[in-house]
Amino acid sequence: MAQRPINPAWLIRQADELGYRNKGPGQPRNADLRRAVSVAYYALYHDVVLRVCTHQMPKCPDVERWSWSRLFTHKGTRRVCDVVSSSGPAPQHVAESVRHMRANQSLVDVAIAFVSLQQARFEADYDHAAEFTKPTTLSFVDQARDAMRKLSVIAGSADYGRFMALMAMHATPR
Amino acid sequence: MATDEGVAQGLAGWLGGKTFGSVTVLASKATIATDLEEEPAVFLDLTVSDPAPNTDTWPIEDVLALRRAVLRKASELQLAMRIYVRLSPATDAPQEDDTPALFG
Repeated sequence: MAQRPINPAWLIRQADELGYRNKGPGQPRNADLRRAVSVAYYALYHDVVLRVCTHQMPKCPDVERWSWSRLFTHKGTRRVCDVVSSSGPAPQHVAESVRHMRANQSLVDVAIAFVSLQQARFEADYDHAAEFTKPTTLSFVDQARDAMRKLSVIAGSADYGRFMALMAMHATPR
Repeated sequence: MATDEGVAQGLAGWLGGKTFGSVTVLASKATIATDLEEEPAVFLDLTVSDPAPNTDTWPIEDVLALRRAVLRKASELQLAMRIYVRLSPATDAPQEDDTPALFG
């Protein structure tokens, strides 16, 4: 059987389809809007995690990186994004690196998108009172897409390396 | 000294009427509640102008400009809590399952 890994770009496409992108006026089913928000978050989550694994293990086979991707947690990845997107005190021993990352608008946009999408996914999946409209939902999808694009643009830079390293250190061996 | 609640309301008030590219904030409300990590956070619910005709949503650059402005202002106001921005369009439209007779 063919190996069909999780492809973040395919998740973004699915989120667009669920949100009725380019289908004219009208809104899809509410359950589809909620699912689109959830899928957009997972697209960004998997994109970040796969990038960290590729960055740390460039010469290893895909299947080994996929296995390592299971060591990441939603809480750990969020913690790194919180550090990058906030203006509060940075962790002492990486303060200089965090200062660099916070000065990088693209990276801050990625971190803000991650934190926003994770909360939105939580509301989409659990909060009956949360409101999801087509414009709101597709805006979340755009934020995920934009964050993935920005990571791709800054790949190879010092700030990208700092972000990848901090992410890798928040993985949990298990 | 201003309370977090007061500062959050001040932030919401500051946003009212502001325009970020094609996005104008028509109404704003700040609520302090716990987020998914059970940490207190500010939820900014903003009703904004509808997306331009024949577009599905607001331009990403305008949305990012709004979010960055919120974070800058929050930092200026020394609001330490996480802030979540939730946008709603001025006009709602029926969703496919709003009419069970049609969509089940």
